[in-house]
Amino acid sequence: MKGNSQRWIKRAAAAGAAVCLAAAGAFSTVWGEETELIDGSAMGRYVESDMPLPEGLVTSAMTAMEDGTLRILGADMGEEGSGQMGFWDSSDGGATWEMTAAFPKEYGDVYFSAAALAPDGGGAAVEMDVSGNDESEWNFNFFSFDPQGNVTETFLGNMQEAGDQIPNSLVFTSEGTLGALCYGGKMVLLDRGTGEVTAQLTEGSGELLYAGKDEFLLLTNASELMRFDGESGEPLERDEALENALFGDGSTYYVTIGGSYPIVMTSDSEGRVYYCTQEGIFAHTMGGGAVEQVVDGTLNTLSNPAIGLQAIVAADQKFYVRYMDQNGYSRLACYTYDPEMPVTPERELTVYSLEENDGLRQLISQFQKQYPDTYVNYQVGMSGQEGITASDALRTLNTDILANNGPDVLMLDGISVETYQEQGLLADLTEILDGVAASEGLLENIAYAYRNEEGTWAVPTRFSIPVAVGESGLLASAGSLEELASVAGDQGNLLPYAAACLPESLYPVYAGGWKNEDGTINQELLAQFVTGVKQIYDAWISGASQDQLEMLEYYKQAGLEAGTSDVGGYVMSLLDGKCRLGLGELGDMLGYSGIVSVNKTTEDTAIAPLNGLESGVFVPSSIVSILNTAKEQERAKDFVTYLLSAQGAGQQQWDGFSVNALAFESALTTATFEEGSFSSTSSNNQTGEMVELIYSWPTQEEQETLRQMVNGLNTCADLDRVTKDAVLENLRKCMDGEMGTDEAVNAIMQTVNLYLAE
Amino acid sequence: MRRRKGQLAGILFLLPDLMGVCVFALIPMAEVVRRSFQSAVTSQWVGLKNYKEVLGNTAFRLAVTNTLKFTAVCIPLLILLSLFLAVLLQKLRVGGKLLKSAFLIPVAVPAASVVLVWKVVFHSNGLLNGLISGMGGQKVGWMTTGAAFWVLVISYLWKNLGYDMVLWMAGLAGIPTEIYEAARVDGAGEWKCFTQITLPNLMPSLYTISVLSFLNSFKVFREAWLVAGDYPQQSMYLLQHLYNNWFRELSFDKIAAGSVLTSAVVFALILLLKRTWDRG
Repeated sequence: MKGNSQRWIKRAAAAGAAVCLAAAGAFSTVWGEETELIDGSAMGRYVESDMPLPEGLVTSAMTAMEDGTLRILGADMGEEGSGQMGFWDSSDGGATWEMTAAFPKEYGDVYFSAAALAPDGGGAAVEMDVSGNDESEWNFNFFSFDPQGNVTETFLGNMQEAGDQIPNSLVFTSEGTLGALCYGGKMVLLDRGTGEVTAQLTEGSGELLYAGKDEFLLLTNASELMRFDGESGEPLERDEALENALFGDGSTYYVTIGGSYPIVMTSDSEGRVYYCTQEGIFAHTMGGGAVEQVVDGTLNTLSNPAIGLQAIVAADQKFYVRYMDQNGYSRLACYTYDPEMPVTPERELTVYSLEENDGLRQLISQFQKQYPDTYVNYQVGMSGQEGITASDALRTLNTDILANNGPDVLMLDGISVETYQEQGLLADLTEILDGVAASEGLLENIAYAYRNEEGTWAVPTRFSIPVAVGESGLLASAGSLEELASVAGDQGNLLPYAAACLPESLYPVYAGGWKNEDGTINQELLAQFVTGVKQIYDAWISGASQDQLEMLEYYKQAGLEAGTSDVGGYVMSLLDGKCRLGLGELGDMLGYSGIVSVNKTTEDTAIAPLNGLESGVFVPSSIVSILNTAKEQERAKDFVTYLLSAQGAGQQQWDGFSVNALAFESALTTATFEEGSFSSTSSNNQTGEMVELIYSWPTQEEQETLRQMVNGLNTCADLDRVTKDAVLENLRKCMDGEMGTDEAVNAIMQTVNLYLAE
Repeated sequence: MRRRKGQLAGILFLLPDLMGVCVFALIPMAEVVRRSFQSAVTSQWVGLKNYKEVLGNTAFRLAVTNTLKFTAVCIPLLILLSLFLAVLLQKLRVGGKLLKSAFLIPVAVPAASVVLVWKVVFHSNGLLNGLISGMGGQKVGWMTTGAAFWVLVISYLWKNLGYDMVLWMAGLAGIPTEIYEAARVDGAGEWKCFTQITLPNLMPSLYTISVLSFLNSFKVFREAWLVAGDYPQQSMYLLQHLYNNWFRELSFDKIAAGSVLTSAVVFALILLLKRTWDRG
């Protein structure tokens, strides 16, 4: 009897798995690899691995040659300003690379605005020479490379004369025909040796151009897919299945960042076309009725929102995707079929955050790569499309938790740590923190912000510092409301944006100071804050020019005032004298580099922590916790450990400084740009004068200043959402004259008192 | 034997409905009662702690006071106004049907639309304040002062007047005209007819209308919440606001205890109403 029931269970499991397999169109294979059932689980999927590119190599194009060798057209930028351009080949599937052709030295610094390699190993590129003052004076040269690396150069003209004949995108068919998309969207065929236009195929509207087997595929800005014969250029019949798959759900593909694309395409010798987007890699046989997903992007780097796709190559039953990482470096990922990897990961870790967090998404894609058996289901409470409020989202989250269907990892940004801890829902993270502290070190003054006698219930993995930047003489007045009011009255001291963001900028250093010991709000101190901010704002308004008032109105209408400003945004204004003081948050080294670089010119620009009723304040972010109800406790711990690790911190660079001591020190001391190689320009809208800021990495002394500033942080900003919303909403109404200060204070007190009474 | 068969058939007819009531009302209510004696998430037995906390909670007391005040003001007003309109419309020979439809329109207007109009009219720089300012008066903080309570009352009356009026009219239609004709032959005037014939005959309708109006009064929370969010002006902070916020804060224990207390009061009130009517 027992054996009978076991047999039935096995049969049911096998049937279920078979159904899964049948339904697993998303995990199709293309080169005859077979998905197998092992112990009732469907096995076999493509897994990602990193292929190291030669250090300092800036890539322009990539191809798989007829003999299977991978070839890259690029420039080795190892030495300052003296690049070496050439071909790099890999005959072992991208594991090692060797320079096989070096172009003449004079081509070392050219900038290719378009480049392509043909399957025979030769190639073509268009150089953009931007030495002219005006865009219309920029010159363009066509480069033709033979497979051995011999270069022929042809002058194409300048933008003014030949703009709509100049290619900004090149592509070779498998037969070696060169197609191009020109500025303005016109598609043409080119002579491979000279770059001369041999045929014009469309009038305009082209957005992206790729090649299938013996044909060109043109994606237009009208969401169409056009096909042209690879040799004659004659239009071909539309491929409805592919067109539907590309555009059917309303997707659009516009190039917004130079050098990276929302979609890349390639084809193989059997006539299949492959395209790659953030969602994964898809395969389609031209003329066929189906488009199948081969690689699921949510399980690897492809879903990382910070990367930009550059090219895809299919060779030797593998896919190679060249992409630009968050730092602008070229990377190469290889997708190989692994028959022993489950079709879908065995484990599912659910991570919840109230608002979309791109940094977290980046990190998740890397975490999944490290743990291929785990699928991270990232849930966002307020995606911004449904129009639901934070309270609605929290109620939905609580319902899920109550139904034992809650997330494993809860990001507590905008969520009360206290509430979830008091209800006994949060797991103690002390062991994880102590582990990371012992191995890599933690900024303990920040990382243990949510520790009490019973445990550590949440960890801020990133943080930023409320600061004032500007003339050193004005910095001392930045935290005092009275002194700020007198400073704000002088036109040119504060930018309109800083005036608009006053409540948000000052809130973190004041909010904690209003709280009485019993948790209630000290009305007198709150009233002083509201009155003080109103006075600063009124003083600024009274001294503002018409232009500044118009800018302020613009910020209000665009809703831009409802955030805190990154002080890095003030550097150009501080440099050209548009403002003398800025308030905001410092959360990355680029911002700090900007401030110290401005100081090199002005010799009087400084940065100081903002002190209000509290000092030593930091703003926590990416606050992570594990729910006691988590089904994947162990993996959740791995995730938090990864988030805290130096490796994880390196994946998420724009959400503040890392609390990992090793990562923080590395960010502080490792220059991300060469001295003098990174600059920013802006024009003064009154004088029209151009101002250029050449960034310098902070000196050891300046690094030490920041280190000391961070070491002095000891107060976690009070960011309770209900209180903050009540204060900021009513304060803004008060600033706009919709209500008086007393009325605003009463409204805040009423809301906060009700909230606290609950 | 036949009587037993009849009883069985009755029970069988009742059974589907009874099951629905059990699944959707009685069993969940029993679960709420159980939870009111337990901690929120860990479900530990805490005795009467939740009840003590709720009764000592100033937000709960404020919400109860506001809810009772709202009910005490709105229900009599609504009943009297709708009765007055129902009698008036019944007497109208021309345009009665048109007016009846007009009064019913607010019932069909979705809460979100009502709120939109509400915001335009009662905003500090809205239509009403514009009108007041234009006439040289002082602006009123309709949504930020005690006036918010009366805005809520008027909104409730506007929305429910038509519905109650139709219920009254149904009651009025059920009174035989012969009684009025006989009374008038005996020399009774309009007022006498109203107090001596109409009102006594409407007593059964009054019970239904009172209960329905009372239950509808809880729905006014939708408008209050949509217009002012989780924390409206203190005078329109109702029990539903509190439950909503407690849910956000995972205070399921307090919600359970508060719900049991509220249900007990509502149940007692309805029983009291019924008993009064039964005696009458």
